[in-house]
Amino acid sequence: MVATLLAPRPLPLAPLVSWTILLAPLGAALLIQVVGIHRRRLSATLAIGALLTSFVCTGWVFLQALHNPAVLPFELSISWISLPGLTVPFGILMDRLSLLMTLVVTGVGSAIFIYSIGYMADDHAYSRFFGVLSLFAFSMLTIVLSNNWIELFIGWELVGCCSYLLIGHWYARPSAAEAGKKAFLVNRVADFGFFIGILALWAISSPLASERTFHFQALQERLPGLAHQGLIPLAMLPLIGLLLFCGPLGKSAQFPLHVWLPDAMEGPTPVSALIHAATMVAAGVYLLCRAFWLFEHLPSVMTTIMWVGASTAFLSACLAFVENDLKRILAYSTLSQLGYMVMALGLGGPVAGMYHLTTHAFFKALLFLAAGSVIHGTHEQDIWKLGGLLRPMPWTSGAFLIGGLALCGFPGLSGFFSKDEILVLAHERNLALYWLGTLTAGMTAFYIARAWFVAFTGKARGHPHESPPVMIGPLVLLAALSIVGGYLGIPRFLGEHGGAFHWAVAGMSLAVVAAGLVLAWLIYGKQAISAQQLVHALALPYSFLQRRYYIDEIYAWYVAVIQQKLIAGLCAWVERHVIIGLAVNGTARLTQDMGRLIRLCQTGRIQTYALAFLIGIVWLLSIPIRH
Amino acid sequence: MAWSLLSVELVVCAAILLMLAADLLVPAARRDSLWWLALGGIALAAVLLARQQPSGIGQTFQAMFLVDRFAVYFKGLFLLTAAVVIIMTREFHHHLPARVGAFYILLLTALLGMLVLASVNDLLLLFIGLEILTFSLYIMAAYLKTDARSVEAGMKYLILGSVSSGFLIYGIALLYGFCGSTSFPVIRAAIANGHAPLTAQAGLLLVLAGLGFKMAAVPFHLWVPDVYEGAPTPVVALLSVGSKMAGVVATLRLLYGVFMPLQGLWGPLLAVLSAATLLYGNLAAIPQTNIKRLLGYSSIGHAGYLLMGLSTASGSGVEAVGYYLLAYLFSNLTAFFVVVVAADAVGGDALDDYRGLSRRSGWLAAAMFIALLSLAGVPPLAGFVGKLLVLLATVESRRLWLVAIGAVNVAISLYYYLMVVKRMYLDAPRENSPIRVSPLTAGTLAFLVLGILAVGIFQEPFLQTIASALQP
Repeated sequence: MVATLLAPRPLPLAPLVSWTILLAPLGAALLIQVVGIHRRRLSATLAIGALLTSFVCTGWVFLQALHNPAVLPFELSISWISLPGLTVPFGILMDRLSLLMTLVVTGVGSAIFIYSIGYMADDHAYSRFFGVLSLFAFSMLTIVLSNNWIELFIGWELVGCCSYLLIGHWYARPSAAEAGKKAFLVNRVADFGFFIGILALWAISSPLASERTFHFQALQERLPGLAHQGLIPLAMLPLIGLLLFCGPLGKSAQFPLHVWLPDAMEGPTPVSALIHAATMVAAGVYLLCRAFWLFEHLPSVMTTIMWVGASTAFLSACLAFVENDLKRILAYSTLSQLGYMVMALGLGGPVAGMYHLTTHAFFKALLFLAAGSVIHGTHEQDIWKLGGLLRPMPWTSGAFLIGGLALCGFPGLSGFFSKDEILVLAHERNLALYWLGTLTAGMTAFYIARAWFVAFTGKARGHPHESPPVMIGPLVLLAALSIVGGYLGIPRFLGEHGGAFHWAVAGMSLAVVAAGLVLAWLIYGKQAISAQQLVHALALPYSFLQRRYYIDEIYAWYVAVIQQKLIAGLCAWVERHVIIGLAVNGTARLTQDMGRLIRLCQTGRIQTYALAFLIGIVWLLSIPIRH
Repeated sequence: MAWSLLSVELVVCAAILLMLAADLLVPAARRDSLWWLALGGIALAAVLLARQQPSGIGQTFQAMFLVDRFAVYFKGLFLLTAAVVIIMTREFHHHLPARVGAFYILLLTALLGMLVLASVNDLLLLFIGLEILTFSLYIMAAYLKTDARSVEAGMKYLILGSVSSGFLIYGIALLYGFCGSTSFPVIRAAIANGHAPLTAQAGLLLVLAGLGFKMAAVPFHLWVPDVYEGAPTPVVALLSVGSKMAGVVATLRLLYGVFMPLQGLWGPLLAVLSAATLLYGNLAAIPQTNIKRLLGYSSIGHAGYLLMGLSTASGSGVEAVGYYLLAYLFSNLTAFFVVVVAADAVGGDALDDYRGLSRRSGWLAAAMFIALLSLAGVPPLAGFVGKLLVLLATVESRRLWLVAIGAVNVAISLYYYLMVVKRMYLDAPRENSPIRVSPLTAGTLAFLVLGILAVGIFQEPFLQTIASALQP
C-alpha cells in the first residue's frame, strides 16, 4: 500500500500538518521522559505547547475544509507491517467525523492541560503527570485519526494504559491504586471481545488469505459485496457486531460494565475532566460512528445497542440521586449522558450522537473543572460538607451553574439542542425509548440541581478561596463553548440538514426538566420537603440505589467465589500438579539434563572434535550411497 | 578487465598496505589512532560500493568474479560488520600488544576474504576467499600471546580449520574431476538435468561440510565454544557475525546458484542438520556460566535457523535468510559490543559478573537487553521478523516437523537469554560505581540498537531491498 490521497484536490501541506497533529504530543511525551522528568516548568511547557500545536494544525485543516469542502476526506497511509498473509497500514484518515473529534480532543484538551498548571501546582509528580497526559493525547488522537482497526486498537489499549496510570497518579493511596486496577481489568474483559471482533472482521474480509485487510475504507467497500455473494456466513455478521460493541461497552462504561467509571474519580480532577468525561469514554461512541456503516445493517445489534444505551442513561441517573460525592455525581451523569449517545447510535443517528458527544465534552469538562476548582479551594468533595460557595468563589460557581444548566438542557444552551436531537430521533423511531429518555432528562435536572443547591448555596463552611487565573481562564472558555455550542452548526458540518424544530418534543422535555428543577429546589433549596423524611419513606429503593444495584457485590461474589475459589482453585491444582510438576519441571529438568549431556561432548580435547567431524563426514557421504 | 568491479576489494587492499607502512612509520605513542585509517578505508569502500549499485553488474577474471545485487547487498553487510568491529577494537586496545596496526591489518584481510566470497563464481576463488578469511582469523584468535586461553583457541581453530579445509579442497577436486572445470556456470550446465554421479554428489557434500564448519553447523561446530571463550572479544564478534555470514553467503551462491537441480539431495540434508544444530546449540547454552561461551552456543542455535531457511530451496527461504542475517548482525554485534565495554568494569566474562549491570550503567544494560530479546525473537525487534520469515518459508516447504523444532527452540533460547537479563536487572551488583562509556561507543551502540528496532518495526523497506537483491 503506498501513500494515497483520496481527495480530488488534496491540500499541499496536508501530510505535514496531519502527521504533526498526531505526533506532536508523542514527541512531548518522549521529551518529558528523557529530559523533563525533573524540570517542572519545562514539562508543562512541552505538554501544552505540543497539544496547542496539534490544535492549531487541526484548526487550519478545519478552516481549509470550511473554505473548500472538497479537501475532505483525505487519507495518508504508510505500509507498516507487510508479511505474507498479513498487511497492516499505519495512517491518518481525515474526514468530517475525525476532524470534529480531533478538534474536541485538542481544543478541550488544551484548556484542561492549562488548567492543570494550577490544579497540580503542589504535586510532587508534576512532570510525570504531564508526561502521561501527553501520551494520552497521542493515544486518543491515534484512535481518532486511525485508518484501520489495528492502529485504532493500539490507540484503544494505550488510552486504557494512560487511564490506568492517571487514575493511580496518587498510587500511595490504596483506593486510587485499586481504582486504577479496576478500570484496567474491566476494560480488559471488554477489549478481549473487541479484539476477537476485529480479528473476525479481518478473517471474513476476503475469501483469499492474502487479501484480508484491517483497512476501514477497504472493508466498507468490500463487505457489502461479499455478503451479497453469500461469501460470509449469515450468523457471522451480527456476532461480529456484538463483539465489536464490547469495545464501547467497556471504554464508554455502559451497563453492566460501568462499574469502573465512578471509582476512576480517584484520579486528579483534570484527568476526570479530560479522560473520564470529555474524550476517552467518548471513544466508544466515536467507534460506533466510525463503524456505523457496519452496525446499521445489523438490526439485532442495533436493538441491543439502543437498549444498552437507554438503560445506562436511566439507571445511572438513578444512582446520581443518592450520591454524596461531587465528582461521583458528575461521573454518574457522564455515564447517563454516554447512555444517551449510545442510544442515539442504536436508533440510527450517528450525527445526533456525535453532536451530543461534542456539547457534552464542553459542558461536562466545564462541570468537572468547576468541581476541581471547588476541591482546590476547599479540599472537600462531599456535597453535604460544602455550601455557600457563591460569594467566595463567584467564577467557579458561575461556571458550575452554566455547566449544570447546559447538562439538564436549559433552553438556548448547548445541551438543550443536542439532547433534543436525540429525543426527536427516539420520538420518531421508538416511543418507549423516547419516554425513558425524557424521564431521564427530568432526573438529570433533579440530580444536578440537588448538587447545586447543597454544595453551592446555603450556609458557608470553612474558608474557601477562589482559584488562580490559570484555572479560571479555561473555565470561562469552556463556559462560553457550553453556551454557544448549539449555534455552531455541528450537525450541518457532519452533513445532516436537521429537520424542523420539533415543538412537541421540546415542550415535553422542557416541562420535565422544569419539574425536576422545581422539585430539587423544593427539597434542597427551600427545604420545604425534608430530605430526611423522604429517605425514610423510600428506605427500600434508597438502600438499593446506595448499594448501586448490588452490581459491585455480584461481581465481587463472582470473583471471590466462582473465580477465585472454584475456577482458580481447580486451575491451581492442575497448575501445581500437572503443569508445574509434570510439564514445567519435567521439561525444564529434561532440557537441563540434555544440556548437561550435550556438554559432555565438549571435552575440550581436539581429538574428540576432529572425530566428530569425521563421523559427520562419513554420515554425509553415506547419504548418496544409500540412495 | 573491468577494474571498477574490483574497486571495493582494491580499496581494502590499499588500506592494508597503507596500514602496514603506517604501523612502521607512526611513532609508538600515536599508534592508538591507527583505527581511523582502517575505518577510513572501509568508508571509502562503502562509497565505491554504493556507486556500483546501479550499473556495475558484471563479471571479470574469466567470469570467476561476479558483481551482482546479491554481492553488493552482502558486501554492504560485511563492511558494516567490519566497521563496528573496528570501533569495538578501539575499546579493546589496552589488551592488545603494542603494535595494534598489525591487528587492523588482519581485520582488513579477513574483510577482504569475505568481500571476495560475496562475489565468488568459481570453486577455486571460493577456496581462496575462504582461506584468506580463515587464516586472518587463526592469527587473530591467538593474538593475545601471553594469554594461554587465547593461544589455545587459536591452536584449536587452526587444527580443526585445517581439517575442514582439507575436506573442502577434496570436494572441489572431486567436482573438478566430474566436469573438468571449477567454474560455476560449467558445473551448473553439467548437472542441469538433475543427475550427477556419486563422485560429484560426494564432492558437493564435502564442500558443504567445509562451509558448515564456517557456519558452525552440527557436527562441524565443536570448535565454537572453546574458541569463542578464549579469543579476544572483537575477534569473536567478527567470527560470529562476519565469518558465519561469509559461510552462509558462499553456501547460498553454491546451492542456489549452481546446485539447485540437486535440491532433492541437499534440501532434506540441511533440514536434518538444521534440527540437530538448533537443538544442540540451544540446549547446550543452558548450563553455561560464561557470557562468551553462552553467546557461542547461541550462535550455533542461530546457524540452525539459517540452515532451516537454506533448506527450503525456495525464493522466500533465501529472502528469509537475507533478513535473518541483517537482524542477526545488528543484535549480535550489540551484544558483543556490550561484552567488550563491560568486561573491564565488571571484572570478567562470567555471567555472574553481569549482576546488577543495570544499576551501574542503565544504557549498557538496556542495549544488552534489547539485543538479547532480539536474538531470542521477541516482537517488535529485528530477530522476531527474521525468525518469523524463516518459519513461514519452512511452512511453505511443508516441513512442519522442522517448524515445530524451530518454535520449541525459540522458547529454550528465551530461557537462557533471560537468565542474563535477570542477572543484569534483578540481582545486586558487587560494586556500585557507574561505568563510563565513551561518546563514540555510546553513539555506535545507539546506532546498533536503533537498527534492531528499525529492522523489526519497518519491515517493508528492508524486505524490498532484500527481495530485489536476492531475486535473479
